[in-house]
Amino acid sequence: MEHIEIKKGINMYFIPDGKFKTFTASVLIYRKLSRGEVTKNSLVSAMLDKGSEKYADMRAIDMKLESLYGTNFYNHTSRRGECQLLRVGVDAVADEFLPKGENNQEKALELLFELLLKSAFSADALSVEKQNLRDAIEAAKNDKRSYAITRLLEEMCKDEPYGTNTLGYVSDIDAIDAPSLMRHYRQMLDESPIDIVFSGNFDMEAARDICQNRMAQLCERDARYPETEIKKEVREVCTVTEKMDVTQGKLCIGFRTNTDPVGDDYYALVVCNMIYGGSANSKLFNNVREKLSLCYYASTGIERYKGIMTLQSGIEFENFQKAYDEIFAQLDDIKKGNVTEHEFDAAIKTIEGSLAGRYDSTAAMEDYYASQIMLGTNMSIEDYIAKIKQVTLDDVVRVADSIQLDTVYFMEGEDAK
Amino acid sequence: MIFEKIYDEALREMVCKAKHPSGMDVIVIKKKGYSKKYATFSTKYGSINTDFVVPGEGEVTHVIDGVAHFLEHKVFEQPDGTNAFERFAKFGGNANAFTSFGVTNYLFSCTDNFYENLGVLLDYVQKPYFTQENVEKEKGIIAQEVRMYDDDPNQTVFYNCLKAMYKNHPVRVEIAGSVQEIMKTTPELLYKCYNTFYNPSNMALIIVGDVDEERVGKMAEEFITKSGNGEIKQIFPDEPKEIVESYIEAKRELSMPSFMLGYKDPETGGSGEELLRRDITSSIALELIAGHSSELYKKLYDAGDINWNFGISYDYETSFAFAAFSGDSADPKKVRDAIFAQVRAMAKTGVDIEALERCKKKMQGNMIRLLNSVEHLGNEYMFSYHRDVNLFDYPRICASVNAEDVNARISMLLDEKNAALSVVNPKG
Repeated sequence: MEHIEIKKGINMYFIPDGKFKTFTASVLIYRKLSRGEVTKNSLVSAMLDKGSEKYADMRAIDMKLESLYGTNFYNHTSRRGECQLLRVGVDAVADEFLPKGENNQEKALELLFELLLKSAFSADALSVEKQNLRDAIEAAKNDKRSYAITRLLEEMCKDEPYGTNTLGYVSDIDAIDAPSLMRHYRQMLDESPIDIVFSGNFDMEAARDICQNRMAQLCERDARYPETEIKKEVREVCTVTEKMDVTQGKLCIGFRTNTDPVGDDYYALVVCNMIYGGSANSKLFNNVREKLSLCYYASTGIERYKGIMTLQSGIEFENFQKAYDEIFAQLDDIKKGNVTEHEFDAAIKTIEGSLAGRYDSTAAMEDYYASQIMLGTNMSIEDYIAKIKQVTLDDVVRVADSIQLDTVYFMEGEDAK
Repeated sequence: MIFEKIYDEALREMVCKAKHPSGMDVIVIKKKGYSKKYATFSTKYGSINTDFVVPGEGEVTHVIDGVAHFLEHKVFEQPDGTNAFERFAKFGGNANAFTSFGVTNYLFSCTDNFYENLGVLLDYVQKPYFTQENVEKEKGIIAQEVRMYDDDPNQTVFYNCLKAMYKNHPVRVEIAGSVQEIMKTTPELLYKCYNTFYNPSNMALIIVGDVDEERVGKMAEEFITKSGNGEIKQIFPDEPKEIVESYIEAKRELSMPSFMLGYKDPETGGSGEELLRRDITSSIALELIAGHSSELYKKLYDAGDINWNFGISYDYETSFAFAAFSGDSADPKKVRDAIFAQVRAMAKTGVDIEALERCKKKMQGNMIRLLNSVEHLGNEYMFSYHRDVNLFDYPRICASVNAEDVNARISMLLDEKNAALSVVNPKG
């Protein structure tokens, strides 16, 4: 990966790979995840492809994108711990696969900078997006499986920025108008760290030139990324049960791992998570699903920056206690070191495979390196894999021991007793 | 096995094809420099194949719903009580399977130990092991899977639309079946379907990645020793051209109505280029009517009648085909009426040539993008293969579609008489 600083707080990163037939160019803007601005950030993101100085409306932009061989423009927010990112970019076909003289890369990048730096927020378009956001926040409750996770995190982290609903809050929406939203966006462009990451098949020199040229108009800013607090002590376990119209119960459990995202223990935690519930070879899959038929899915995942592990499982209401007990019995087994060589090896191989698989996706490469950049580590995928291979069962037992249960959330049916 | 090698100059892809003694095709799409390898071992057997004639038999066999999907689950079972996932785990293979209307696909992806993983795939799929006990246990798991889909309004709006369009064709039935039906499954039934459809002459091995096709060919010869069992006649009930009903409604817990406006295509069948051409022309037609850059999309979006969820699709096998506009809306009937009006308007003016050329450029770009991903390419090639369609014909055929073709397709496919609106409304 190549790194070029445009100016303080604004950087370019290039991850070239000629085997791809396309490239992605993403602009990442980093903000502290906060209740005060999360709704505005969702709206800013939504407005960036609805109009600019040159393109009157969304349709004009869509027509342009189509004419550029179906270039995709993407705009969304995401988070890493308590840092919220606005990610805006283009995914375009590489010039060498198109007729000579099309200059697709140049045109796609021109469009990206036009929409990024010359955006125009019309009151009418904003009014449509405000309604869309209200609807999206309501609709998020429909995907019961993922809503259950959202509820878990809202409860578990109610006193921390991490508990903020990343879509936003309906009560904030009315007060936001186009001028105030544009002021907020301009403030983001003026003060936030910004990274531009290219990944795939692209002409590096041309890319560098256009970025340096277009971004020159922005000022220097503090280059430090927003930080995340990894809370340590769990004083008492919290249990929340809610009734919704579901035919299958959703059980979500939150744990604090107390693990530093850049220490050696992090790699042991990755292995521990994989053994416990990270794949179809995990203890949860093989025991709670296959052996006991208690569920269709039971899996775990870790959030590196916040140090949280979440478990989710879809179970019949009457099986709640049985499933709950088995879930913890399996974690206890890991804490006692009851992990077979097969379980351990399978976990290592799965992690290795998933990491190596990143080489085959422009977006996955960008995501991997953006994470490294934020953590300040710049570790290659090869080195990460080497760290994973160094993890021993003792390491896994040790990190498992510092995993603390924090909150249990159960979504049961309205008819459940 | 002799591999025929076809290099596509424009797309820079190398496709190697060979025929196994049983009649099964082995296809390797070579991707130099890629870390991942993706292998699919698929059978032309899906949820719609509830009626068929076993090669050599006289009468038609009819089976209950959900068997193809049930089989997919059970094929993973090993005689020692473990499952095939564990065998892949040893070699770092990431395995899975899925059942669609027309195919069942067993797959894995991996970065190392490709040939070892391939050996596992070729072995376990060919070694069925169904007992009274393991079939009973699976009923519990599948019942939970079915219930999980019950909670999903997307599944409801989709299958209701199919039920409104199709009177008899099995496409109207959920792929996983229903809880009552699957309870009737027996090991004997599973073996009967397995022995019929999981014969190599009805299957295909399609691999995408940086692998040696000769070695793959040798493994196919070594692991697949069954001989072809002849043509399996697929039987479909008589299906009237007309739809069943033009409107169907259900209630689920949702915040805003979800809708699917389906169009039953009166034109079905054919194979190869004919099918692909109809696919491409239909997709273009739908895009020009209500795609992102269309006048209609802007009108509906700005009025708040549709949102980011609005989508367009065209789904088919040789025995059925349907198009759909779907999404969320506070007033689905208004969206339907607006689409009807736009179709009528476009029938008068014909499609806009500039819009058509832009749409074709977009589709060319999407085809190129598809080639980046070994899984995506593998799956698309596999689906096309089982329809006797060559995926790599796509750019040529797309370029050749003209305004006359699209106008004709609009008039045939997007006839209001063929349209069924399925709506799922919020409860309470």
